[in-house]
Amino acid sequence: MMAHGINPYTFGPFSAPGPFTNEMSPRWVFSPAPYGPLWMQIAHAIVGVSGNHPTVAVLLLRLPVLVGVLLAA
Amino acid sequence: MTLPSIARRIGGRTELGLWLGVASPLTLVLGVGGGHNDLLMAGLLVAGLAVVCQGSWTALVLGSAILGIASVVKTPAVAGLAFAVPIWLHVRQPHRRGLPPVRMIVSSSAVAGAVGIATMTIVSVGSGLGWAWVHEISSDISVVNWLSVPTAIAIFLKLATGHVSGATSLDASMRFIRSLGSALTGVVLAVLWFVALRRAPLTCLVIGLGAAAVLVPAVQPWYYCWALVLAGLVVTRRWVWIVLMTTIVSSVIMIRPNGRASRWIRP
Repeated sequence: MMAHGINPYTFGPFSAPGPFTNEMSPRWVFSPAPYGPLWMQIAHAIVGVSGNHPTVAVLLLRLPVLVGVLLAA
Repeated sequence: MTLPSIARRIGGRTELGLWLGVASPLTLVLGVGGGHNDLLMAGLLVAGLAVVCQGSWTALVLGSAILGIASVVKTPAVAGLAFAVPIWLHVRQPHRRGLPPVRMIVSSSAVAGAVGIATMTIVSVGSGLGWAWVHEISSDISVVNWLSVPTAIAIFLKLATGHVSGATSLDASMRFIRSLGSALTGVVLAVLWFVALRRAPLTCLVIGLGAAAVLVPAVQPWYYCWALVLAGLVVTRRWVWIVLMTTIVSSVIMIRPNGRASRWIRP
């Protein structure tokens, strides 16, 4: 969505249909994002790196989470 | 490095803190396995507090900036920013009885608040997304399960008054009770903040984060990580450990391996 210049706090993922929304639970398709802007930028960067591939993006998304766990250790 | 450093300054057993905060099945299976940003927030929260615990004014500024960054990952970290003040005051005078001087409370709150809000502003504006996220967190989320106490009360009241078919639907009555839960979260955090100025500031923060994780409108089991990441340093009573262990083990079972919520948290 952010790649398309759509504000994720105003619209749900349905406004940027594609390989990501195809894999989504219908419950969330119309929900705007509840996360902070830094997380949105991280997610945006990961989608870019993954080459728009949902499986790769889902795996890469574990990296920032792992960084969080290491920060607490 | 961060949890052990907090343990050295405030107390608590490092190995228990790490075991509960970092190595628990909830952290690893649901947090990392599920790819939830709660864990990045929790890590930044611990890192920010570890810096604050160094006790100097520079430490308060740097720590508050990290806590500001944690807050723009996920909002519960704002509680960590608020409690940075009593924690910092405690580290500077660990043996003080009663309230710290008002002058110190006001000046440290001003510094932590200004740095934290400035950091959040820079990231919000710099990301091009602005402040819209502040509104989004208060909106009613479609997740309905009994892990959220206000949601559970709403379901129970509707069942008790004979509204069986719409018991779990997100209607005006559920929204109202959920908003009471959010207001109560604010009151609990405010009271704990004043208690924290006198004694046990880290314990107060853990209780506050735990209360938030059951009182917000919609709860997922990995929200417990907000409090659990620090809880290992402050829990001493055996029965509390048993409650936490039970919570962690049952949380992991609540979400099935395919990522869907198990039958027994969906009413």
